[in-house]
Amino acid sequence: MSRPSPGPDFTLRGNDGAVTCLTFDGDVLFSGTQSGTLYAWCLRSRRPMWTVESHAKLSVLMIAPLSVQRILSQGRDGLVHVWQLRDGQPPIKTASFKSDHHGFCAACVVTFNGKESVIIPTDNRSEITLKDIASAKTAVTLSPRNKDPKGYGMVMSLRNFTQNNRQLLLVGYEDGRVVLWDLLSQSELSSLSISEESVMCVDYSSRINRGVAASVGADIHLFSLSGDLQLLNMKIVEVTNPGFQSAVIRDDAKLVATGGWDGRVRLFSAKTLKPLAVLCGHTEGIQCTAFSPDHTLATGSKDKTISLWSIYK
Amino acid sequence: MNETVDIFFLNGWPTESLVILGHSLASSSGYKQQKIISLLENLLTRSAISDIVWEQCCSPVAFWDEVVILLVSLPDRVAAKLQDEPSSVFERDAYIQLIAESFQKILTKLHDQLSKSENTSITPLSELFGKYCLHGYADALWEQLLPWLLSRLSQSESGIWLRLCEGLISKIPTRCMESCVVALVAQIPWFGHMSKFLGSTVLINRNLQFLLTNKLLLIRHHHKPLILQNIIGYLATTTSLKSIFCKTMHSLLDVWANASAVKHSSYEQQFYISQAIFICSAFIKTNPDWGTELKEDLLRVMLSGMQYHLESSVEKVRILGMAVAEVITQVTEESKDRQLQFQYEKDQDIEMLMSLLAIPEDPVFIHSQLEEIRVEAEVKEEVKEGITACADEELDSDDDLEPFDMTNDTKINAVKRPLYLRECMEGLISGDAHDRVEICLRSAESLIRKHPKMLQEIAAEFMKILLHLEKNFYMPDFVKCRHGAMVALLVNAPSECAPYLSGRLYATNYHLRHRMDILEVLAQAAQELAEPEKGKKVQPVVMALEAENWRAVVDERVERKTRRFGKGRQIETPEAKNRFAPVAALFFFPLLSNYDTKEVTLDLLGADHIVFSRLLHTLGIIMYSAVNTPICPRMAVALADFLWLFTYHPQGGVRQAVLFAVCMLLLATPPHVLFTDLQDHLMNLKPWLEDSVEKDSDADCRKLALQALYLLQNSVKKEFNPNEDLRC
Repeated sequence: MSRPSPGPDFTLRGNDGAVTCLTFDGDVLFSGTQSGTLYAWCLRSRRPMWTVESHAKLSVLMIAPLSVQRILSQGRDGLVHVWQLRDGQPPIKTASFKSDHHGFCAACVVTFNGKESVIIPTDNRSEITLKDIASAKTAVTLSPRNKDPKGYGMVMSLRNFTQNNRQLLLVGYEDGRVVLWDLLSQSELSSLSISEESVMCVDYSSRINRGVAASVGADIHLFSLSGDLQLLNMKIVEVTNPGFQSAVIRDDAKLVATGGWDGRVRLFSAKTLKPLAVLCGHTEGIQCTAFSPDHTLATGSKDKTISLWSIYK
Repeated sequence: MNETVDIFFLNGWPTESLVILGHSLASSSGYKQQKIISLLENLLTRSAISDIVWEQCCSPVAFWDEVVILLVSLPDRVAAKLQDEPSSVFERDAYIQLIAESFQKILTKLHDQLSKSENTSITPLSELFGKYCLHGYADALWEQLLPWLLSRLSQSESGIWLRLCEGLISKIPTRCMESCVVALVAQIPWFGHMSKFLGSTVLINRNLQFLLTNKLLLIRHHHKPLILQNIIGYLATTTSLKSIFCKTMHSLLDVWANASAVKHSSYEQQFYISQAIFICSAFIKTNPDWGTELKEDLLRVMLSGMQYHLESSVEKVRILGMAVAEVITQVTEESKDRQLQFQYEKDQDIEMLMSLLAIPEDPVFIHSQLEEIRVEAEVKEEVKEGITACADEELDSDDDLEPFDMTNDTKINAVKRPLYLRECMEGLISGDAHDRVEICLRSAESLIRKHPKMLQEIAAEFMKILLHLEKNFYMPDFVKCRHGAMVALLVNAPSECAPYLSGRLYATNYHLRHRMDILEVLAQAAQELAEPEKGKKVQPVVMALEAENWRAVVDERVERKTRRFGKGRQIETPEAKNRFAPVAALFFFPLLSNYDTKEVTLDLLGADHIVFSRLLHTLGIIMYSAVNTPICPRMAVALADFLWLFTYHPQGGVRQAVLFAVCMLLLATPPHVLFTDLQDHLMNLKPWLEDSVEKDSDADCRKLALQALYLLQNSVKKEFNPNEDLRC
């Protein structure tokens, strides 16, 4: 008889809406909610250190730490804010710029040509731009070259990484395809169609050369990259209830955690996608999952709570 | 002198020696008696029995009957003489061993004689054997002889042993036949051996035929099905006995289908006959050329019999009827869609019946086959081990994370649970939306128990919805959920729901199932109401703190906080308001009012006796639930008047229910009421109960009647000797 599935270590309550994004930064956990509030949770006291209203009561899509005590937040109001953190005090907004994106896709932060930049989709025909944060100028534009006026549909998920000194970007589109882009040459390297419907989440670990992508269906796909950077489908695993919202690979490349619309966290081994555990603790769908550097798993749900799990630490 | 006597008796004619010694034993004593017994012992251990029988086989003597009686009764005679010091030779087991060995010797001699084609009579041996069987040695003798004979039969190629065995049985005198054959049939391990012993004697010997086809099948009753399998297998597989087999099958089914047998014979007997029918069917099934006439006949008899079984008030009998009907149609109808199929729970008995459909195989043959299989399995296992060893190596050594239990990964239903009572009611009448109905039904009970105060307005309506709810889709615990919800509703809103339910019981246009549900719900709710509520204590009325009794209040508080050693902790008895007392009448009296109205759809006193026995049962439970309530005596009088009408009901189930209700009545009613208000009834009750204990055909009825009698005696003792200990 195998061990029973564990419950969460701790549940953080008090978010004013569904939790939409989570980011660890040292012993602080940032969360954003559907009503546009940013929270900073102290992981020692497990209490909010501060909260701040940020995106005009619209969803916070992404929070990312920047250099020099700053964080960046992106919201569905089409704005990106940069905040200066102050010790224990609510942060001060130091800059903001328009992103022209009113969709659901979370941006990602990269260092491009030595400058801190943000990769962010636009509302224009599956187009993705890379903007320099300091100047808010567009440095790169990635646009599909097919003839369809809609391109590949909306951009749903992004994931950047570096392999062989090339800065690459995996993008999941609304039409169910995952495309690998080269940022520097702005070219499409390869593409893999995983579903008829939109790709909700994609992640890749260059350490083991494995990536996962999942859509609104019940299948989760495992893929890898060939030597000439072609996407290869490796395995498909079907789970009980359909609908994935997030999938992350832990930084030691052993574990994949997915958050589903059924409110369950599913853990798989990263290499083979072998199902390892199903965690029940949320009453509604999970919107975001994140691993801390010490391998604590945080999950944020529509039920306004964040659960912390220490499993396979 | 001594030696001369020894030589005279031991070396002379054994038959004469035995007769002389046997006769003189009766009048002997002292040394003479000792001498005679030691001579007898010597004589018998020197294989005198086989010599005596052999002598008789070759040259018959006139007083053979006398010799037989003497031989059979010898152990008893010797024991009677010796009293306290039994003889080791004539001790039962040793004596049986001695006889068995002698029989084996004679049979071998006879075999040798026959193989030399010299004719010798086996009759003396049969006569002696029969006599021994009649005197209770049958089982032990066959235990010794049967394996020996079977091994001889299987070893020899010629039919001589076969002829010997058949001769041995067929020559047994008529009056000894039964005890001998019954023991044989009970011990033969496989029906295939039956014909070796019985041959076609059954055709000639009317007595034997009656024994096998009537007495053992229809009148007697054995726990092991081996006897049935042996007899029926023998009749079915012997070609010359086919007509007897058909006749037997007919008479079995006739008895099974007899209305009075269904009603009056015990369940065990009916089960035994069903076993026989199942075994017969198994043989008919394997052999397709049994003629359509037989099959049509069987079907006709079965259909009338099934009706009586389905009408029975005992559930086990009904199930038995269904099982037999199914198996008969399997035999008579070739196409699957014309075969009957019932839905019933398969209990141990039915499983056993089903197992009888497999015709047993020769155990010796099976044994050798098993050996082969075992060897094969071992080889396979070795191969398998090799494979798994390979597979293990292939496994990824990196994947060392041990999975957790993932049984919690269940399908999530898209429909939401209802949060309010009215939402739940709406969901239940949403008809085709099965998911919604299911989830509403599942949450109904907990919702009702959560919001008891909101129920008053909607309780009757809710109950109506639940009562009329039909199972139109697959939901394994539909009945349980619906029942639970109805009970919860009735418990939390008794004064609204009880009149509605009891009104529906006698209304037209309801299924029997509905009426049964109503009665079950009433009974269970009454029990729940009568139990003290858990966790809720009756708060003692707190008196306002007045100037005069402050002292008392302070003393009480001090007392409550003082611990006294040596006294022990007092166990707090739970006190709770009896929730059933105010509504008991609502539950009880409406059920008594209309039982004799005969509707088109409901005839309680006739065909619908199953509902009626459930009604009596429910009345009993309500009566018991009303113990210690003020209305209890009135209820008891009404119930006693009611029950008295049905004391000799023809249906066993109804009588059982009446007895159950009587027990409940005796338990719930205070003794003083029994001896005042119910005095007349008590006068009649006792003789009736005593009569039931003795004469009732139903075993459960007899038990219940005994129980009731005991309760009655207890009440009498309590009333007249209140101080006496009642535990006796």
